[in-house]
Amino acid sequence: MTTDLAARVEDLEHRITTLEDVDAIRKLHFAYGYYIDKCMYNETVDLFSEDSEVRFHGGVFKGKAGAKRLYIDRFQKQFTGGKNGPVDGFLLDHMQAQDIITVSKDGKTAHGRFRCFMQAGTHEATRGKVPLQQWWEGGLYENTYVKEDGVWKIQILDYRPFWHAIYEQGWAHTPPNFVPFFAKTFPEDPLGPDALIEAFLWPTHKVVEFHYDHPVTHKPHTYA
Amino acid sequence: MTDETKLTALVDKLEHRAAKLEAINAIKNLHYSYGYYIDKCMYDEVVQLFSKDGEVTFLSGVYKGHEGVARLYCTWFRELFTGGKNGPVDGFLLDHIQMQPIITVSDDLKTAKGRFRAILPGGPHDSYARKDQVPSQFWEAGIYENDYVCEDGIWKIKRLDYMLQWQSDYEHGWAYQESHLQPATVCYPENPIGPDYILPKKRPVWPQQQIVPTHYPHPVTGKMPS
Repeated sequence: MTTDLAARVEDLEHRITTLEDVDAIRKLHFAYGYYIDKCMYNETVDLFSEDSEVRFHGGVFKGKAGAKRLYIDRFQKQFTGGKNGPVDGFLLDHMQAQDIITVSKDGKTAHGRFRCFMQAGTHEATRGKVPLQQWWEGGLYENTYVKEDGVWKIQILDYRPFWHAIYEQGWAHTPPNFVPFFAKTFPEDPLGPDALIEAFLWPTHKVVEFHYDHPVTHKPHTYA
Repeated sequence: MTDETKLTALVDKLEHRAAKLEAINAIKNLHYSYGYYIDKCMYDEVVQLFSKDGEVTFLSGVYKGHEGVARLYCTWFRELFTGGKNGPVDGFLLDHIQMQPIITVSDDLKTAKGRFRAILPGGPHDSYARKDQVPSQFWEAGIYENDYVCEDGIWKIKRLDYMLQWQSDYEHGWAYQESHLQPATVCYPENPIGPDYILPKKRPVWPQQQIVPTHYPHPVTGKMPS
């Protein structure tokens, strides 16, 4: 085989690997969405790398220990009373869409932007147990991924919930501070984050920064 | 044929197949970026997604070239929604959720077509200062059937065809509402935010229904739907 042909095959192998990586990361994030739907928090925690972070609602949960504190100690206890799986009367559909995934040249890390559109709340028959009303939520993810031993894992899950709406009232009438941000860190708050970060919620409206440049001009974005 | 000739022919084919898959990803990212820009009223970025001779069909009106595209997004939408700012303003929601892509790339890798679905939760919060100028909180749904062109290795929107399907205000729902946006009636320049021309056959909007033609044949039978 000539050197030229060998180089072309090598290049093809790299391109196919990138295409497969994009597919694997989409699958990873969509699987995350399906687990969150059904309160499968053990499976959710297993999607993360050891040195991962979850950034959520003004807090950073660091490492697997942080992820477990958020998903298992906090959500699993609050939403299902400790069961790893859905409970009757509690809805938390975590629809995922609009994936833009960019794999690094060396194929070891990647970024992904996704949209989340949620329908959640408790059925009236069970409302006494979990006192949450029915609501909508819209938000964006800007995540970072790492490939370890050939397996893609979540390194940074950065979820920015943006707007909430009580079903009966809609997003026009969302009260201020509808879902309060984390205010205290662990261990002062035993279920709190390891650090606090800035966040915003509707009706405040800001751009969630993009991990990629404009796809046509290849220039940074110019929003005000 | 020698082994090397055979292998070269195979590599040629594989390169073409890889390029097609890459093109599908690039076009999906292009359209999804468009959705993310519309969310945040980043209309300068939206206009830059189009080829110079690109166009938009919106409400049965066609906006031609970068000038027409900018008239729709910058002159009409941006002035109305943000008062001229290229970026989001507090209290105005326009989430433009995109999904369900069907993308077909031509064999010469120079043009493509894409179908997408959009659902929009939109409208002003109680705290938004200009709320008397925009519709109150609403749902909207639409289907895109777009054309794309690859220029110097970069995919761009050649024709964005947004077919609004239904709208309803939040409080009443789609059972009780007609779309507040109706087909265009007056062209530019008589209407300073109007299209360059109006389609000969205007498209009906909810509660009227319409078939949205597909750019692709039936995936099993290979026939175009009749």
